[in-house]
Amino acid sequence: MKSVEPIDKADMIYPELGEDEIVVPNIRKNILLHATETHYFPLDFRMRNVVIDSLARKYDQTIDQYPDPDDADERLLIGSSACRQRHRLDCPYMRKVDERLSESDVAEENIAAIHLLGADNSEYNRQKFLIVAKDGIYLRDQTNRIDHYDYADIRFTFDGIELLPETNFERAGDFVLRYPLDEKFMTFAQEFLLLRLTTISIAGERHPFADAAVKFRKEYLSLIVDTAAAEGKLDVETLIRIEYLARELRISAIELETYLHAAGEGGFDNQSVRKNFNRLIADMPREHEKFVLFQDLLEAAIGIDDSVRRKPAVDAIKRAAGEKFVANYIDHIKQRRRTETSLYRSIQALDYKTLSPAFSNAWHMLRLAQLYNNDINLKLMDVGVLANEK
Amino acid sequence: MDIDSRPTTTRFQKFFMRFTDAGGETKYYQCESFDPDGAGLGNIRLPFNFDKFNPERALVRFYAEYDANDTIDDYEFFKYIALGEEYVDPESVSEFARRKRNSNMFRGLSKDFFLSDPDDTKDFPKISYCDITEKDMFGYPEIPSSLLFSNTCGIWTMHGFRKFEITIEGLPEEKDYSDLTQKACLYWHQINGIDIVPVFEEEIRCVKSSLKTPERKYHVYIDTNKLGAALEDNDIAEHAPEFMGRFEIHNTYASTHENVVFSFPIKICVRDTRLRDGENPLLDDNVVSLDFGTSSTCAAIKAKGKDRLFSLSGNYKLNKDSKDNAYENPTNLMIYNWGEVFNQWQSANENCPFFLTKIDGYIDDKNADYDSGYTVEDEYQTVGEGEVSRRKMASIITQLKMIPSLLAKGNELKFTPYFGEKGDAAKPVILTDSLADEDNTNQKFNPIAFYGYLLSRAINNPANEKFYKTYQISYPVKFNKKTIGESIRQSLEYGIRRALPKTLRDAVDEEGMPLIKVQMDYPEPIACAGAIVGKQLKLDDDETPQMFAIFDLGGGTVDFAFGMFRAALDSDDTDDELIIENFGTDGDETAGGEKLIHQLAYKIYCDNQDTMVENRIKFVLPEGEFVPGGYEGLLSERGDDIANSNVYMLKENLARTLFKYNPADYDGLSADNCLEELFKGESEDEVKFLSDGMVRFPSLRSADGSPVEGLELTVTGIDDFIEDQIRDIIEKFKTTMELNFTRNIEAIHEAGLDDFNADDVHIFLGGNASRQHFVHEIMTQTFPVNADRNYIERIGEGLNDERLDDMYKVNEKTAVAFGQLRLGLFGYKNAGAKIGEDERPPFQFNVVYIDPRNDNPVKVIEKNNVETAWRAAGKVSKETKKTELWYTKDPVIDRNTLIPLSASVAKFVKDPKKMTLYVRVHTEDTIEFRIGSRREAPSNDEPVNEAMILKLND
Repeated sequence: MKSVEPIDKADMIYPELGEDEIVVPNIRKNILLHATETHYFPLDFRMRNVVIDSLARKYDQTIDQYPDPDDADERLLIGSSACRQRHRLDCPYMRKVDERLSESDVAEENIAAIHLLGADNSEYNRQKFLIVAKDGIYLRDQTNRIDHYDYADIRFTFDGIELLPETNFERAGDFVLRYPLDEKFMTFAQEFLLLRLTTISIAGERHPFADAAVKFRKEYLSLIVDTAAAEGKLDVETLIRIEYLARELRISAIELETYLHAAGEGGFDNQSVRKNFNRLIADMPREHEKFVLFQDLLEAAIGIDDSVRRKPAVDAIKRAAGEKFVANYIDHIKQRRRTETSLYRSIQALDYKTLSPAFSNAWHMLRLAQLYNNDINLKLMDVGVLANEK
Repeated sequence: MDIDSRPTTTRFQKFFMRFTDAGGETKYYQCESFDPDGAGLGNIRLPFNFDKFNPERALVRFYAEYDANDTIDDYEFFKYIALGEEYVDPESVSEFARRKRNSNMFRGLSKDFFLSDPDDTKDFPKISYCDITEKDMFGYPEIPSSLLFSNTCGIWTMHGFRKFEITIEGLPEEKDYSDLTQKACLYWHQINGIDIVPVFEEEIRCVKSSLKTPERKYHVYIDTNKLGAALEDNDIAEHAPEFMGRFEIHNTYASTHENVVFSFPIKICVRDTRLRDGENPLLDDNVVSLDFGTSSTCAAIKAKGKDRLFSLSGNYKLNKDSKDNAYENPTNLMIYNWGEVFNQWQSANENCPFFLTKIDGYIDDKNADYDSGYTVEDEYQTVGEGEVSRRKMASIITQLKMIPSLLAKGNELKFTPYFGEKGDAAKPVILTDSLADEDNTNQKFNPIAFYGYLLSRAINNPANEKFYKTYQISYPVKFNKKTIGESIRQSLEYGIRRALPKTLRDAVDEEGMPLIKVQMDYPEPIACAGAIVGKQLKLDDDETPQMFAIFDLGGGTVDFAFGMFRAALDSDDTDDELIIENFGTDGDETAGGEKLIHQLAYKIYCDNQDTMVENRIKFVLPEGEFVPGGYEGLLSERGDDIANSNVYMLKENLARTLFKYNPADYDGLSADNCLEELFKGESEDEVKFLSDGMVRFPSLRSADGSPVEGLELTVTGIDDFIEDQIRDIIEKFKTTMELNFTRNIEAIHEAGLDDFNADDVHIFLGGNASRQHFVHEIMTQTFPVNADRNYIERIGEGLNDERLDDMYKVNEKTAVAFGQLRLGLFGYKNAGAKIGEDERPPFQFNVVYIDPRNDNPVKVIEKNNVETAWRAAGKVSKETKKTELWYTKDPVIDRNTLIPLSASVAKFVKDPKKMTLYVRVHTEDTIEFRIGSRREAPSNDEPVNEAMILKLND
């Protein structure tokens, strides 16, 4: 296993500044086209519009699904693109929201979802709304003021939005908003929070194909993304797993964005799925390596609701590995996820103040559990390989 | 309203241009607006004139509000938009007009929106770059970009940082530089055409004077460690991959809220220094031969088939009119900026230290960190009075090679850097020969290690395309190889390793042995022999053995070597066909060119005793001299700053010139008669001839530090003095030659010769100081038959092709360095080491006692003795109960050079009637003693009593 020396440590002792020299500040962002983030995975990747839209797609809350003015349905838009296109709506309530926003300093490019709170039919502009944005929530409720809250300060509940005691002791338990938010909006908000708050660990584990050729790695990830997202049902856990996989395979954020974008446009046709799949396994000399692909694809194909996405990909695995393997592994995924969810929930219910800092990161715990499970998987695979070889 | 004149309300936020020039390089240019009100770009400034700017391909992109953008990849259409229809092919005008009309973005766009440079010779700014690391360190030529990109040169990974100078020419002139904020970056984004995570360089500086000009110079420090990590991270297996990168300048204008970016391509070849199976194409198996001399150092390697020398002073440092030989590097150091030198040199810095050398017109006193070589010697010429001169003298370290032996004798050696730590006055720094000492405090410095680093850095650098793993250092005969020699070897080895890439410093070969070997196998005169055997000393067809003697008069010591060059015998246990047999080496560390010059300066000082005393001129006694009367404390053995300064002045301005004088250059006149020619005194700082035997000396320092100018000094008897000194040395040479050859008479017989005849010996003159004309003259007088037979030659005579550069020439000084390279061609037999049954090395001293009958010295044990029989050695003093012996390393016993050996033996005196001292050889520098009666010597079979050992020190 190769070791990569950390190259960030400052071990250079540069000569002292000459009398005739000045230090020119170094610039790393906004460098021009060709070199921008070719392999650079910036921390703001998850807040990019294409990523948010990938998650938002399954909620079907774009301008096409927006209710008519007379409808009683909740008025909401989910997704950056959907919010950006709202000016195309013929909705008086949304226009009031726009009017109010134009007087504020809410950055348009940060808006991820808009939930109108009721319908203001008055001649004034008293339209209440809630915005989920990249930098927090914006709420106009009882007054004309638009209040901003960081995600760290609040909690979404079915009754509304509550202030967290850890951050606001005096007002702990207070609701900043009492309104039964739409379920889809709530679910999206939870996913959005998870997207923002999940800390990703350093890509230290070595995916078996981390050392493969660049072209192979790109095709590999592209197929995984297609499987997970092409049917518009990408969930946040799968998205995070895909992001982690991209880091492990050293594929750039830009590249991953193009795959997400392509998936959003419908992805590969069935024939292409089969072709890509076959091409990948043809490049794998060892039998047990193929099972790495099968497992990764199945992980991507099984939604959190246990639904099976992307049938062409699953069928391809069945042909290669057998129906029994697929059925067993899907079963395994479902059970493992239940265990992880239970673990997560139990961790969430703990009183953080009595725990050491290491435990306060629930996702870190979850990640440890995942690592443990991965190790078990690898061991099982090894056992299987040995058994077969004998 | 006419559709063409409908105003566009488009506000351009950004303009981006990518083009490929005639050289195939892709450059970018971008203007972007950060106006908070969203007003967009007021206009687009183009840094070229369309008459001159003619790209191969160009793509232009305009960004308007609401993320809209439009791309033009047709350069002609762009010109139409920017300049109007007069500047494009008339046949395209109607098409372009239609396109423009139909474009939301460009319709109504006035050509006044674009401002190009009015100067019609103005092209897009150009980039040029070169590597100036070794230029700044040694004055070598910079490595141009063409070589940086070549896979035979390039730069090396894991080699610390490399200093690049990047020049951007043709940037637009700014109306108001105070409005401008500049940032820059250099990053690598491709290896062999494959995209990688951008690797950013951390340190970019701009030359201040160029900041507000259209031609800007940047210094970028390329981190080769990061490049090495990038190779590993991206699985690059090739040894010499190409790195593509970009250098960008970002100019932000506060008043207009605009940002302008220029982006240029940079490409280099990066040579991977990792070992694979113990191999690397950069590794050269040839030996680097180092002659680390007292006054000068030579380094030779076999490169491209021909042995050549290295210089520590590149073209930028050397005075072109000077006759100095660039390859005989004066062994000296001058430390200007101690804070910076220590900062780089401390062992906590794992990368190759970087130092700026002084280069006239380029790096001055204030910016230099160190200096070495002829430019330091030149400082002596300009020394006058004043604080600056005094500080310069104090910051110079010379005779580095002598430091370990001086330290071993208990001397404390110091120097005072020209500048101390930032803001502080310079404090003295103690010299050490230890490697551990240096780290504890920044007040200790190992100059030999430092010098070794400079040598290695000069040799192992990308412009030379190779790095070397085997280094051979010669050692002077008179040095104790195990202590002093080893100290020098270790220090040089440390310095040599530090100059190599990190991957190699501690690497091991397949057998687990260190890959980098620094060896000290050959004494200097034998290394000299390597230069002459087979070239000046040849075997005839009948392969008659040839006897040789080397007389190596160097700066600090004189070394002799005696031996035989012959064909291998059956009895030789070797596969070599030719053998160099070393019959013995000897020498005198009290002699040497530098010491002779010091003695000459001292003679002049003494000849002008009245003047010196009257003016309270202090001086340092040469080694071995006793303090004469009448100088009222002005003379001392160690001397203070003032005394040392006066020594330097007299040596460098007067004595050295006289010593180097050659009558052949002045119609055969002696030095005494040629003062007028030698000392023209064209400036006030120079010595000036006054009349026969009188000169005016520019300046010396009085005991209170004040300058004493224009002293009139008597300068006479120079030739006689030098002649006498050299004659003494040659007498010792002759005596030692006879001793060594006769001692090895059996080997001579075995080789097929009947007997030893001194007339048959080929004598070779080596060492810098043997160029003194008396050496050859007196040698000819001493060995007249040999001279008649042309057996007395200077090393290198007739060997060199005069058409070739000095770097290939063998001469008295460079012989050791070249000779070591050739020794591997021959078998080497060190007869001197294998004497006696137990193969102990021969005894190094003559031990005598003074016969009370006639006050003459009586030899007790002879030099080179290996017998172990007891010898009577006079009496133990009845009063003091101490031995009364004397000893010397000289082959010739001279009362003035005898060292007393007065050891207390009181506890061994049992019987007052038995006070005779007996001694026998124990090791090469110790003797064992007994006390007995004059009638009966102790038994030779007596076992050794460790309590009765006396050590003889150098």
